[in-house]
Amino acid sequence: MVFNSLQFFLFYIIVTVGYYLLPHRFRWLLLLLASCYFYMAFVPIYILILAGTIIIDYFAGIYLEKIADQKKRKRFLILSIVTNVGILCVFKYYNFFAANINDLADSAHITGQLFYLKILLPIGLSFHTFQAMSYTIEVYRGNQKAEKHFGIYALYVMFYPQLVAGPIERPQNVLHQFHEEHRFNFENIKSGLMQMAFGLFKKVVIADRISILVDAVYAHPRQNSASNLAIATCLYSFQIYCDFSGYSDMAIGTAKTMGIDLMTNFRSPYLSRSVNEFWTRWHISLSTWFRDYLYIPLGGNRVPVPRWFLNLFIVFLISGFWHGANWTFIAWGALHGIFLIVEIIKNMLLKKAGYSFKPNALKSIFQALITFILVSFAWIFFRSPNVHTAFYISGKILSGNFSGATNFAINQFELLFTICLIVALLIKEYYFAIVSTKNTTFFIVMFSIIMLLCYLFGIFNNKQFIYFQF
Amino acid sequence: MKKILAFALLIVTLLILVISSVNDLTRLFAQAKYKSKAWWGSDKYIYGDLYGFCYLPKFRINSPQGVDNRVKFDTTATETKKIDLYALSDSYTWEIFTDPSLFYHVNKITFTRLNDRQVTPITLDKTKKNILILESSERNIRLVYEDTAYLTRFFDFKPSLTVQNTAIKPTNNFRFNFKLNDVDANIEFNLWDYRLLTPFKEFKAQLSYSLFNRINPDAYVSDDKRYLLYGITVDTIYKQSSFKPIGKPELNGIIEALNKTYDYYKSKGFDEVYMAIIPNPVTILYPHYNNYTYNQLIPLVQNDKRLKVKVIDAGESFKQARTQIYCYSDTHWNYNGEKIWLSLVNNILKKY
Repeated sequence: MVFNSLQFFLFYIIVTVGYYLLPHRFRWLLLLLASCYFYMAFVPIYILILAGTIIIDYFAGIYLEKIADQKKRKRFLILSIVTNVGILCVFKYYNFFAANINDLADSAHITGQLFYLKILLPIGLSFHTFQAMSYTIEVYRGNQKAEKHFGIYALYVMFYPQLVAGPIERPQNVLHQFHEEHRFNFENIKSGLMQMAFGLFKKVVIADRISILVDAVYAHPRQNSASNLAIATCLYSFQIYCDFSGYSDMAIGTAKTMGIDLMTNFRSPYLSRSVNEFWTRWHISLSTWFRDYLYIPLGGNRVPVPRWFLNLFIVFLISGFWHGANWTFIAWGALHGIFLIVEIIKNMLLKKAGYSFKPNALKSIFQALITFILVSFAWIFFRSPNVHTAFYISGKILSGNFSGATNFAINQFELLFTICLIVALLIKEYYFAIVSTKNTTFFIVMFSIIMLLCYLFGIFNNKQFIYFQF
Repeated sequence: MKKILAFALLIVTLLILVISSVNDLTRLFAQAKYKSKAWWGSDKYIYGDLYGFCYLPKFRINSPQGVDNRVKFDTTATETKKIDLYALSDSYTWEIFTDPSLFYHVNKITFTRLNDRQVTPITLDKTKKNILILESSERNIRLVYEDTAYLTRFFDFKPSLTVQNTAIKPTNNFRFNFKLNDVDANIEFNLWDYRLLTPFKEFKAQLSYSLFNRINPDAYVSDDKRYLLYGITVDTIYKQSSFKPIGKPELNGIIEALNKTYDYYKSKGFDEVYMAIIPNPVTILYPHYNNYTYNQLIPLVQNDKRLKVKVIDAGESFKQARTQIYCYSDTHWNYNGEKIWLSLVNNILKKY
């Protein structure tokens, strides 16, 4: 069930109204059943995988808290992590490894092939696995008490708004909210609905409109000129942003209407003036996850400089691989790692040379533009079906030969309309990051206008969110 | 008061979700909506199925057939009824095959739909000529005509049974495209498909078309803007497309399957087996649509020297027709097209 479907529209009304009609003690059950229904709308059988990890992590959490022996605690933590990562490896990465090992064996003329698994990737597997892992790690670290209520713990992993594409929550932020009673609060409803409306707008009006152009160009890169590829790549940057942040907005808004606060996942990333800043604004729940559970345990920046760079590179490489079992994602992660390292070296050299940075508007715009170009360049690898195609596209764009026809799957007016929408979005994010809904009349007018625009200009093709595949 | 309203909202929403999740319930509701002329009725198929896909106001045509009255054939009642006609057919001819009086010499008709799951028990009357017609529109050829097992599963030959005419009488040619296999589609139908809302749908459709030159991908507007064309018969990613090239192996597969089907039915006692391919509207009206090249599927199949099945070739007659033969806003032909095709069939039946 996708957020931009009518099925979700009905489902959301039923669950939210039911939530407020039920006494507090039964709400967890309603949310858990609703989350099961939501997940089973994709591939029902995969709920068993989720149930398996929930059971293992629930007991791991309890034992981690009970046992005083540090060695035993570590063993339980490792068991939990290995189980979670193991499931991820089997379902997400096994065929990738098998294909690469078979290719290597072929080139070395070794007979025998690894078998392939005929399985579909459970939707949102990487998200709920990471969320489950953050729970056991936090219990191990003593930052979170083990959850004794099995249903509430299951709900922590399965809470439907963020089950399949995040934000990847921390137990400290969410678990206690499931215990608290949330009374009906009209302010929460207004603010949640407004965020949902903006999210829907980003998805159906901007992202799905851009996807018509981008999909057509990336399907036949050789038949498209360098300028077509460059335009499609720039637009893809906004497509993936509107798609993913639109989803996050809808997830956060949905939870908000039930009085539950989820963490912010995006803060206008394309207004960043450096790649480093970009990663503090893009997919915040994942970048902070990697920071807390991988980068810092590796030593972070409190190590010699070469090791620091290595830590950064490892984190981005794994972050890329987290997205999907394809060399394109690894290359995307590696590119970001390289960008970040080069940026740090540049800053070090400037500091050494005694250059002091005085911010001004023009410089900021220039820096934001450079950052956008770098990030967009990396998206080529993210969007391409394989590394070979990604190199072809990036090579063609970098060749600088922008002559040739610019025919797109959308007409020129629609292209202009799309660009206007993007500009409007950037202005809105710069000046009105949060739209106040305190004034009910303003809320009703704004909400109605956004929904009307969604209806009139939305592309309703039930296209899934890009991040669902991860 | 707030609680009562909340309960009411919950119950109504639950009801819609339940109805939409159970296909039979939605089907019941759909039948009532199609029949109704009130505000809560549906406009989905009244003006043609392609109009129902895209809601472009220009194609809201009161008589999607393009001509007002069905053409009646004067197949004299005094004739000898010496033919038992059998047919495997699709939506183009379902209605025709319910009426034996449209065909020369025909005593009775037994037909089954190509997408039917049920098997029709039959007994061939050896005192009659038993003729089988395999009718399919061009868009279905590559889906059904390459599988002998599929083509031979429709009739169960039971010599001992007393057979009734099992033909199912459709009430409206435009109502049989409704597919209930998707909860979201059902919700859309139950929540959104009301005559009252048609002006909003038309406004959105016209806005998208005027500004962005885009309509629902299930339909295309012809270059001269006179016809709506069925998306799958145009878009080359689909096998149903008149422009998706056909390779030699696939063609061989179709011919082989048809020949095996022919042998099978002949061995079961049929006197003759005919094949009739109804061309896609785009094949006849716009063979060079969007600078595509027609894949020549019909001539390639019909003119193949290996083919044993006899051919009822409507293509040439359709090309030469001086009247409108396809509906402007529907995937099917109109009564003129139907008439031409019936004449071709009757010319064959007259010879028996």
